[in-house]
Amino acid sequence: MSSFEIKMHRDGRIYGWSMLLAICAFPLFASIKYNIWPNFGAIWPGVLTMWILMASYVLSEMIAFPPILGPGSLYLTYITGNLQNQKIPCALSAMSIAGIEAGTEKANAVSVIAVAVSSITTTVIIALGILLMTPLTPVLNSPVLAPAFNNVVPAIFGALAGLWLLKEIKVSLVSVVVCLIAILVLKIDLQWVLLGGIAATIIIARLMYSKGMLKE
Amino acid sequence: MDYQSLINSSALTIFVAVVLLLVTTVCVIYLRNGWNEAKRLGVTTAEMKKIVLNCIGISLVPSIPIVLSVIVMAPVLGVALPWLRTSVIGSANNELISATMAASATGVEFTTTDMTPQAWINAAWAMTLGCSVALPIVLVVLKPVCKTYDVFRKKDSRWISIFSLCALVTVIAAFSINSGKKGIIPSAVIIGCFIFSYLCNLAAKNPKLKWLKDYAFPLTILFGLVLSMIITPFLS
Repeated sequence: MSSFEIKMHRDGRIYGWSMLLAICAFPLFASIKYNIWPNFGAIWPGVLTMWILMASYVLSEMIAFPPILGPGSLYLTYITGNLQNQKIPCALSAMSIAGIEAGTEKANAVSVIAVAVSSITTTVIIALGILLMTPLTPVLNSPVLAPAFNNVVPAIFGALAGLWLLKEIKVSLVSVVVCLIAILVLKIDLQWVLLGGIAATIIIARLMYSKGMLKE
Repeated sequence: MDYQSLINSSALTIFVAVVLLLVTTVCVIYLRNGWNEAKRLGVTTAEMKKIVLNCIGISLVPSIPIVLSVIVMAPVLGVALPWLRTSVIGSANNELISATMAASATGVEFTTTDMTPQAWINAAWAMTLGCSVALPIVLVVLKPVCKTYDVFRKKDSRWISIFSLCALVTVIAAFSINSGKKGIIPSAVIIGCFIFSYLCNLAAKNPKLKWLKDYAFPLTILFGLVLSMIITPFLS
């Protein structure tokens, strides 16, 4: 582990726990201020549902993302959220601009820059949106723009596919076929597709690698 | 104190502003660290400036649906709570599901007229406890996972590069197919963006159009959004 990675782990844990405490302090502050306390007996089934839903995603993401992004950007991503539609695309675009291979020391460093800039931009945009909420509401809710806002994720992943899937076509073909079968034929949930799809792609790629079928 | 005054109190808004200021400070510290490390590893300042500009461009459009979700939640939950939950950790969908479940568990509808201070407190705690679970898992699990990957990297660095690529292309393939299965419009947008991105990268091989490589990604997203606006009236 490089000294930068060691620092990222140390800082990531310190800032991560501190930010988690600060974020979780909000309902506590509200309860103390208004002397209204939650009815945990009523909300626990909903909380448990969210834990189960999110834990399965996070665990599969913990297998998928560390070899791509590195620790620094991942700690920051999980503090600030919006992994799929902002942080991953920004980090991958940054690597592409600098002509860096995913999973390298350079990739880890530029991913940190990308995720930090993306987080700051989102925070500023949301704050501006709140300040300008009244004049912006009719524009943002306009039926002309609605299809664009409904298709942000497909546009991002179409762009990412064009950027990365052609780099090693044999591996990409394997992953696309595996995901097509898993999602469209077997109708498996996305988090399990990620986990199983990565495992299946790695096994087949390993066979190709052993037989010298992948370019050096 | 009536419900609207409670959920929109300045104390709550200031509290959220302070938390977000702290989070932004952490982002700036990370940005500085990443910048110094990238520079040390030989990434040029010009490249890093391009990365910064690109990331701002890429983050702008996906931020708008987040602003919209805050606008949707604000009349029912006030400004402070949705502002905090959508700016950090949470995703708007999960937060909305969590808040709705909490309101329902309290015995009220998730509407401006039905919500009570008790339902709001229940929602605030449910959103915080339910949707913040990812971060503590990452804080505990990430270091051992990275150490395990490092052991493999030392054994065969070429294989770990292919391993990373396998994870990367599967993530892209899985999310693309999962988005595409929702209908003909997202499918058309994905295919359109894939072709547009390929053409941009092809055109960028021409020395006169080299600049296109740096802006291919945000341009492709913009193309996808415009394409969706054009095809929706015909295909929906």
